[in-house]
Amino acid sequence: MAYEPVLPPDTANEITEFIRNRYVGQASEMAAADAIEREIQKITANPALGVPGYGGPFESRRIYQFNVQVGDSIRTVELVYRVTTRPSVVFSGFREVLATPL
Amino acid sequence: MGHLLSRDAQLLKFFAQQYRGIPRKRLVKMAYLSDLISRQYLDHPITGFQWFAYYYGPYADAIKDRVGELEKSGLAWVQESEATPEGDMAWKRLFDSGRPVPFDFSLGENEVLAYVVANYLNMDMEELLYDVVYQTTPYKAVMFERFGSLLPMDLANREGKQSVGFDLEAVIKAERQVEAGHYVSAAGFFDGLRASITARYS
Repeated sequence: MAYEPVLPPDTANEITEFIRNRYVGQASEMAAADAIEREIQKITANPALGVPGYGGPFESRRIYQFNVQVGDSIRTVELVYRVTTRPSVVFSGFREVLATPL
Repeated sequence: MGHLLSRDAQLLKFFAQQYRGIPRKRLVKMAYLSDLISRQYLDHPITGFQWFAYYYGPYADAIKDRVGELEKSGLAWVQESEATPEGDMAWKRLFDSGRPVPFDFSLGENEVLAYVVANYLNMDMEELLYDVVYQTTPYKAVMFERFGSLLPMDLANREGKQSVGFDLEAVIKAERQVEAGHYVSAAGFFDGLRASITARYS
């Protein structure tokens, strides 16, 4: 059964803001959008790709981390999602994972 | 007419509704874990209870008063038995009256409560104590001090949020948007996004 990937307005805004704030130029923004869409398609094809948030209220959701590579720039981001019975994959959050100082 | 129940009493009533005749010892642990997990994922406790270390784990003196609040409002009642020379232990059980009252828990708090119910409400008490409650960061911090020590609950703040990275309230809010029919397909969103990028640069 094929899943339908859906985005609520909040997640759509998070992705839009990430692209606008992190990339400069039409080609870069387009490439970033394409890269994120490709990963969403991967998750939709195989919703088990993400890792469940073990040991807490996130257990019923999965988190999928991937890199967005545009030219020499590589940024690590995460999507949180859950599979519903509709059937759809609901992407309820998107964030950039910023490097933390050691 | 609505009841103006304190949130602390609301929490106790919530668990009495989930477990008929919930023993006091279990009720206390459920309230403690609710506060703890709420701190971990939402940065704040659900109740205003102050937690202390006692023999059977964390305890909050104010629980007795909040149970009294429920009894006085006719929303719950307590059944008690005394210890017997034959070795039967004393126990107190809280029964919900069945009268509904509105709870004012947030989406995230409701999710925390649902998690506590699903995972701990019916867990064997020994397992609950030794594998869960005694392993929590605030309890471990004072377990070798004298009984009656105030638990440093702040130590649990953001524990879960930091490991997950996402804000639970925000994630649930987004899920509710979808349930309410406010969503776009991923394909539709990215087509629109590409069109807006093109428009901005043209």
